[in-house]
Amino acid sequence: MPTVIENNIRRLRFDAGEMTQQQLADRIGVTRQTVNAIEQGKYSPSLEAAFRIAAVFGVPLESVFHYRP
Amino acid sequence: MSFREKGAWIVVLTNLGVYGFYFLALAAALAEGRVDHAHFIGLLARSIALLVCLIVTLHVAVAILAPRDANAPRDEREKLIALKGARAAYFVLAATAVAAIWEIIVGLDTFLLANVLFFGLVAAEVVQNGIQILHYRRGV
Repeated sequence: MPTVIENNIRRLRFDAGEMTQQQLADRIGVTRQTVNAIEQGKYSPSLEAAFRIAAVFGVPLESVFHYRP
Repeated sequence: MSFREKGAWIVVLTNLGVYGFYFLALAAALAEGRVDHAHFIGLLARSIALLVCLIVTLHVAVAILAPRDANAPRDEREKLIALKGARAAYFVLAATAVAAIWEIIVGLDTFLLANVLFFGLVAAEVVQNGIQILHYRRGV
């Protein structure tokens, strides 16, 4: 069940010195598997989690997620 | 695979294995028309004890292998998946309740009624965890 929300988390992690999924997960308060599911487009995070992800990378929300209807 | 997905697999496989054996034996006895109530009550008690032992042992083993995952609270995705599983299980329990009411109305004996109710509980547990596995694998 892929979502219609795409994301750049993989690239942002790479740009952040190859941050691991586990490191990102620890910083936003979810499991590594959930970060993986978000990256794979298998789960659309809550608004709060989405803002937390953007805050970790220091970018606006729309730089992380895009809506593709 | 997350700790909770492994837990769901453990519940599904142990329930299917242990209670599958019990219900197949019961169905065979019913088909032959000779059901020894005492035998099946004993078999059910042993099945429940075996299932509890298996589930506890396997969960402990999985937790030892990944203590960090085991101790972490459910995150938002895991909570959503758990809710979807519980919703599916509700329909199984509702169908079981309707079946039980019908059996009471037609005067089915209490042994069979108890087994139908127990089958519904087992089916609900399998569906709940099966739906969770589906969402863990395919997304939610």
